[in-house]
Amino acid sequence: MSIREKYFAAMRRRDDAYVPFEFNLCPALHAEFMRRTGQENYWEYYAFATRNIEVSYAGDLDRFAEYFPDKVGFQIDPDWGVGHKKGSLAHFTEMQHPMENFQALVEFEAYPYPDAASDYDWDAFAGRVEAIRARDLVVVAAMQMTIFEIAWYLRGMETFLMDLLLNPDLANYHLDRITAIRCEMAKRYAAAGCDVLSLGDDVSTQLAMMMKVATWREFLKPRLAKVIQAAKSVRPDMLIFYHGDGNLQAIIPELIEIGVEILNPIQPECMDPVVIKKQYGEWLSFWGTLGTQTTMPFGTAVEVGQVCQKMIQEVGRGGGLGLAPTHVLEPEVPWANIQAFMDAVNEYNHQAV
Amino acid sequence: MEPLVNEIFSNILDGQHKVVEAKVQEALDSSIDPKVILDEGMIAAMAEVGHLFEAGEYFVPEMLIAARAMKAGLAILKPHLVQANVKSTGKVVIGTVQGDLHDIGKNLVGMMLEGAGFEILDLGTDVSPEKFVEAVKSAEVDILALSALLTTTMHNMKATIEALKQAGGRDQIKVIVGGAPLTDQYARQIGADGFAPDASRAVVLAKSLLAASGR
Repeated sequence: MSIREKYFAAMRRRDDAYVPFEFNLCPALHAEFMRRTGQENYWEYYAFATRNIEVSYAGDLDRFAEYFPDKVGFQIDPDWGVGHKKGSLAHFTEMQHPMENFQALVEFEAYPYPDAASDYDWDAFAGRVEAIRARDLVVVAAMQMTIFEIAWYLRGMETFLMDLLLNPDLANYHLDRITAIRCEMAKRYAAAGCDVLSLGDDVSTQLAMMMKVATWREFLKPRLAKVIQAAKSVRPDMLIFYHGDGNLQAIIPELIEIGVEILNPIQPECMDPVVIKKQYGEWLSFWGTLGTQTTMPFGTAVEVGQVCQKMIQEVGRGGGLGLAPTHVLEPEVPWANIQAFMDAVNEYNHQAV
Repeated sequence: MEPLVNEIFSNILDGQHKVVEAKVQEALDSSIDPKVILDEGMIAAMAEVGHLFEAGEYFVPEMLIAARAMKAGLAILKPHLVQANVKSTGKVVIGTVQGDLHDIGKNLVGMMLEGAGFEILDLGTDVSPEKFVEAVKSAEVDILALSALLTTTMHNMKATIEALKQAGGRDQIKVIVGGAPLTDQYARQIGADGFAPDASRAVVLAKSLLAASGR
């Protein structure tokens, strides 16, 4: 079986002979990887089955200057216009929200949202997708921060959450503009031959939903469904991956209903992956399950190996598991734990071969 | 309850900040005791918001709009409270620890504590231990509330508590901590006085710590 075939057999729950795996390293751990291996690219080095790809922005570079009158020290992302300022530690940044003080609809109407067609380099994109597929790898179109998150990155979280109740007309306009852009991008990602569409919006805390399920149903669910339908209209077999941090058990059935096929990250600190597998494993595959607040930073290497084995055996039974830490591995994760993760997946996957 | 105070209460629950402003002014104009407006109108309303949050009826948006309405009313009420010599429940210094830029959790805790009658000094995010110590020493502070979302930064809670010890101010105040990766056990381990999993329970914790210390 090719790597692609093995990945799809696992993610479509046809077979559990192979467990796809992945992790993301923060810059400090990436440097540690390079020091230890002399290699640049850990995705290549560890032979992950997937490659994330997003279309490059090719529009004007300084469209947002007027929204950052005092932009000293800020990096402004060129397509949406969210500002970032480096904090005092590692790679963490403080976000600046260009729409924070908007009061009226005309201000939203005047905002230079990106044009999904003309502001991106779609001509070169198809070739990049093909190059990945030609290497027997799975192409994942990265479109997380899909709707809700980009909405509040632009507006400010507290302001946008209040808009949902107090200014629904502004919230609806803003969300509609974003959704239209995301639908067009989803279609283009599908048309270019991407295998997986990676969507995501954090709508939960680790205790519960951030908002009422009714609020999610009113503002976010139908728009997420539209994006999924847009992708599926072009490429019906495109796999739909959805990232949502925290405890989102309240909406899992509805995510399945609108077409989500792989759920990420299943934070074990607030949702038991084994229980979630029992409840929803017939309809959903899972990507993640390894705690980045517990096992990866604070477990021993032996514990990491044991948790990996347990997840492979119980969540991976019958297929349906991509084993991965639930978030980027941060500087405090011991290298031995990353090695233990790799040892566990290699042992299982080689044994299976 | 006075009908006007009752209206302040219900409009805070509904997040109607303009109405709350107007009703607080009307209540003051009607010579209702500012302390009654505060206790029975505002603090009682925010306590109810906390109950509704814990019961799963209110979520973050409802809490935010209620807190905004409470703040709007409080801004009008404050000079009258000062004049009437009404004391706050306690003084809290709050912030997100060094290296960490997350603020929504910290802001919600600050809002709910303010809604419980505490006076809040919010130092913002990415706050160094030295800054916390300086703030605590510059005023009569009852509680230091520390927030962290990241496993990378949560050890700076311990560093802050240690800095406070070295500066000789640890015994005079209570330290409470919160944030997604934290646990009760971790709070004890780093020498904090308590941990709360959400903003509503942070209020219960703060009040119980002050009550236990006789304040």
